[in-house]
Amino acid sequence: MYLLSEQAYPPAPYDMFRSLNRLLAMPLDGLDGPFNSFCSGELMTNVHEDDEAYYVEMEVPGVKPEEVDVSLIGTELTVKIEHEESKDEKSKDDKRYLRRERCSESMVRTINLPMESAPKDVEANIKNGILCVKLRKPEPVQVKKIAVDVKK
Amino acid sequence: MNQLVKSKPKDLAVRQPERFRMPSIDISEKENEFVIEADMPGIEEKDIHVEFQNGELSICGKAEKREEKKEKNYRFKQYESMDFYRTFRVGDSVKSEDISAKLTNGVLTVHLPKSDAVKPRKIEVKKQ
Repeated sequence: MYLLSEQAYPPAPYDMFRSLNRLLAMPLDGLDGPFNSFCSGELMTNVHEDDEAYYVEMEVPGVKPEEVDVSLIGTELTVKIEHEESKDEKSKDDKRYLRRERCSESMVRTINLPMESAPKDVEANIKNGILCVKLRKPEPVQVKKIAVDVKK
Repeated sequence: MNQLVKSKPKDLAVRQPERFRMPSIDISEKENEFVIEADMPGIEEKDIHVEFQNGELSICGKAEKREEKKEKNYRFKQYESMDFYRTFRVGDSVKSEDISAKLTNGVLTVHLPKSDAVKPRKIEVKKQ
């Protein structure tokens, strides 16, 4: 868990319902059967690795590539989503919502990568509503041996 | 109208998966149709099943079978790659034969045209 650090950006005022929703939306390990994935105001994230790279995957349904801003400062990866639902829909006027569960707000999440130095290169793509960021691990730091002479 | 909002998982023609996630949905109403939008990130178009039977609409997105040689080495896991499943009691307020669905960017949109019975009908006032 040390891998991820949450950063409010911009610092949001305390919202009791959001905190509650977030708590309710927390995945429960080993739970069989249905559980809700209703909007928790949080980008659901998985991180896995292999020898070559770290892979950060986020669920971003309905988000277009141009609405995503991925940036990297050192070993800190920030994903910013500026998503406005039904912005381009002409028929918005006669549309009336009977129920709303999906996120339509902007979201930001920062992840501290467990790397010593910045990744070699970064690739990001969106497929079927999953954002995948591949961060290639830097070359391991070479250990420099220093011979110790005996002083006489 | 409230009938549409009610949803309950139940065994239908689209078989209810053993483990599943309920997708987040929006339901909106327009003059001539109801629209259901469901978040189904990570699901391919070929794995989407939409069925209407006995006044119930069921939507299902089959998650990719994990046939990987080795399990991914997760450092942090917040979501599970699982089937999405949800049903809606719609009744006879829609024209079942004209229901259409499409998948864009991980969002399933189902259009349910209203049946004539529930469409607003203009009644002409005649002059005497």
